[in-house]
Amino acid sequence: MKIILLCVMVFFGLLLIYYSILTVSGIYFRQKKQIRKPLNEYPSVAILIPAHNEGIVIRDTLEAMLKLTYPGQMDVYLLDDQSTDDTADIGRIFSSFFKNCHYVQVPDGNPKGKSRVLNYGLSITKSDYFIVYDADNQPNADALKLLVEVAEETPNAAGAIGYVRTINQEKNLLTRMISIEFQVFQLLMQCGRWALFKTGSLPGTNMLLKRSVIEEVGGYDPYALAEDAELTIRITARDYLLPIVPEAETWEQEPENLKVFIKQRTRWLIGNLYLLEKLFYDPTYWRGKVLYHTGQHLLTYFFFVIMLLFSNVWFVLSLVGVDLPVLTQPLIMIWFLSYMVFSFQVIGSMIFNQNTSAINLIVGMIMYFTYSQIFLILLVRAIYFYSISRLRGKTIAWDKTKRYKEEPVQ
Amino acid sequence: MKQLNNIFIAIPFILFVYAQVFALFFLPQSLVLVHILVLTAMTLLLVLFKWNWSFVFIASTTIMYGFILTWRAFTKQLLQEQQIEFIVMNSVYFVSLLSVWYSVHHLQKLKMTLENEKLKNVELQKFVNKHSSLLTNREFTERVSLSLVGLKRRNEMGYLMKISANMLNNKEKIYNKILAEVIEDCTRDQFDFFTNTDSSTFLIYLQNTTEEGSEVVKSRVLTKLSRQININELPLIFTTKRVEDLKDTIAYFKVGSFS
Repeated sequence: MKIILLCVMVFFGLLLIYYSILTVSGIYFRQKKQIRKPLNEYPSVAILIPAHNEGIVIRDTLEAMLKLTYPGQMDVYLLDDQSTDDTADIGRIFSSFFKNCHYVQVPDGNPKGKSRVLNYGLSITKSDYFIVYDADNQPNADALKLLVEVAEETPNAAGAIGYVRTINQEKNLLTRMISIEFQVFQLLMQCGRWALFKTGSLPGTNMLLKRSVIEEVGGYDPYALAEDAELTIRITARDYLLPIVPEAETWEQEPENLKVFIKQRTRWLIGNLYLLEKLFYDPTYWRGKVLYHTGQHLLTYFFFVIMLLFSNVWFVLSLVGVDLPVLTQPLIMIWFLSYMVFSFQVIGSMIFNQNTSAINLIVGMIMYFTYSQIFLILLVRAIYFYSISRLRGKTIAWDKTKRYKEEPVQ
Repeated sequence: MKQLNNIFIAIPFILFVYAQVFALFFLPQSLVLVHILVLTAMTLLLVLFKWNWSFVFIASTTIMYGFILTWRAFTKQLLQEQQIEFIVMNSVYFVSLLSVWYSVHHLQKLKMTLENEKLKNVELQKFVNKHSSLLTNREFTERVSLSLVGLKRRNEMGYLMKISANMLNNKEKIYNKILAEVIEDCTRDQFDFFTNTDSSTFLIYLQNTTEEGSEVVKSRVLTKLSRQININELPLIFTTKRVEDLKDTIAYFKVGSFS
């Protein structure tokens, strides 16, 4: 027992040091002044927007795309996947008025989902690069230009990754927490990993890729529910780089209630389960940066959640007066330090994102006790649905995230 | 909301007071003086650093302090109850510094906002004086009136051109942006001016030109615009008139919202 506890302690100690270093590196990368020169010639880019019943948001999205200032050839493709609302009408009107805006009706097919739609989009376009935006996104005017510049200037880059901000952060406590989570795990940690190990993870939106690279890796996997994570692995396996460009920002909506949030995140987790299974059975992925990505996935989605469960069970048992073994290992101190590192990541990202306010600080400090606990439910749900689908030999259906009517940013 | 913000500003002060009361009551007597000395020294350091780096400083020292305490708990084989005391010590250190940092940060933020506003003001001044031909209706009237005096004296001609389109389905904002860029590209910098009277109507003043000159501008606008917009679907209406008296010409164009 003593040896096990000692191992747990050492392992956690090392993890805490690792995450502290990652945080500081992320902060350093964010603060470093990036000097970017404009390119002599800008390559052509296709903006792909997969959409299914997006009538409530698509007008603002298309307007934001047309406002992008890009010096090269830029075409916007609205990939309509069998919408039954007014998405098609809006798309057709924009397509008829604006020469670089194209409405594309994607043929019905299986499996349903974003990957198949994006593969279709790739098959009908010919640009040097393509960039994916979700149908609720409103990128800043310079986002595309910045991404292309970094992708062209970074040797061996497959593309470039921007930052996804939350447009409805102020809506309620949940959206505020999601926004903070994105600031930490999508930006600060991504920046830290890029600064230290030159690795990046595709976020699913605001991500630019070279056509030649996507063709080389064989397009999107239509069965992947977390298509971004899956594609990251295949691109990394070919030793391409995915640089991070924090200044290239897009704004997107996040779920405004718990039910929608749980549905969306369960899908993401199922996608990650699928990916882990795929990685497990293919030894060609057990090397270098791919192994690092796999470890990162295991830590984020499983190891931490299981340790969270263990810690909660221990806490509840001691509260109800169950006789637990007397421990002299500083486990409580380790737990406290973990909480402190987590909170520092949260607050640090707010500060360097210039998003500090008393309410955000308080929300950041309580996130471990509230928001993080939801991930227990998510993991249980994801494992349940994934196991059922595997046993029955069925494909899990794509689940679209609910949209809300918002005021545009720009 | 303002009241709520004021309450939030007060929170760091309340936290600071609580942390100190906590420190005085619960810290071992020998550590109280150390706590006060460390806190004073750290507060002085916080003022010296930039606010974002001072947070990194707080975070690093808190984590380091936490690791030292953990190591002590491990080597001394402390029981769980005894470890709680260490957690209290670490928390008191962190909360005290964070509350001081937030207060300093708040003041620095106010100072920065003020400086930013001043900078913006200077930038806006530059913008108004040197750049962009897209003017507000009032600026447009003033500049055109002034220019007309010079034109008359030099015996030259000026033309006013109205470009309007029938907009549908809320595309005004993006259309307006594209058209403004095209007009700016097709007119002479510092010489011709333009303004928009509503979301889909622009007025352009062309200085020292003729009827043919106006036609050249019209043709340039159409060519450039047709690269981005399908002008068959979105027909533009061009109306041109020589300006002798600005008020009369504007009345002729029937731009009601012009102020």
